[in-house]
Amino acid sequence: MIFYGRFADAIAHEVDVDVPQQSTVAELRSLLDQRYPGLGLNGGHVRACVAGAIIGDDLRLSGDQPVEILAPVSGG
Amino acid sequence: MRCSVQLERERLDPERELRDFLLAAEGAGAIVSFVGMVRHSGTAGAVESLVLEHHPALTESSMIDAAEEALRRFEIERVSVVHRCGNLLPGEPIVFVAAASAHRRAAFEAADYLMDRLKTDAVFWKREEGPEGRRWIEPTEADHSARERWES
Repeated sequence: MIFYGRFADAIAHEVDVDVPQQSTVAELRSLLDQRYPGLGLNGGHVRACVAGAIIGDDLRLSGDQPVEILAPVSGG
Repeated sequence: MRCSVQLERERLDPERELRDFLLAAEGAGAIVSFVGMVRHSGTAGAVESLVLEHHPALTESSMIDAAEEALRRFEIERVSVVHRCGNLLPGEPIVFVAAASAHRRAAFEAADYLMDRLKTDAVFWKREEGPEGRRWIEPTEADHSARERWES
């Protein structure tokens, strides 16, 4: 699992996390929120990404590629 | 190419960008540009530097999405977006946006739209560093409201 933004700052850039097989993105986010409470990992503006594409909360994770968790973004 | 997007790692020169845009947009009736700068004081006091982290794939694609959507939405002929990443000092430019159109309204709206999109959708993580420590900057409710008004 790869974290970006303030999540990387608070946790680490890369972390190994055991996730039950066929978990959805939403389930993964809940699990992360329990493991790292107070960071807002389950917040509305947090996004997940696999293989360079943003993925929705309903998607089931295959487990063969790293999941990236993006803290809320802000440019400009 | 009607849509120019650059992720700038070293230095953003707004005067050069505007000059290039004026040349590229020759024949347009209106050109609107915007430059965003690093402020000397931020949300938690004095700013010594602003760090803009980016994603290896998603940052540029998020900028391209915003620029292409601006071209679809508004009667504009050309658009340019240049965004810095890395370490910036107060007074340095962060972002340059320009839009060219036949008449002024479309260019103003496109530049406004682009900045609202960049504030909330562009994949950057922004951190102020100063004597009070470091602080991550995320979009405010006002930024999200500004972005949502384009959906109505």
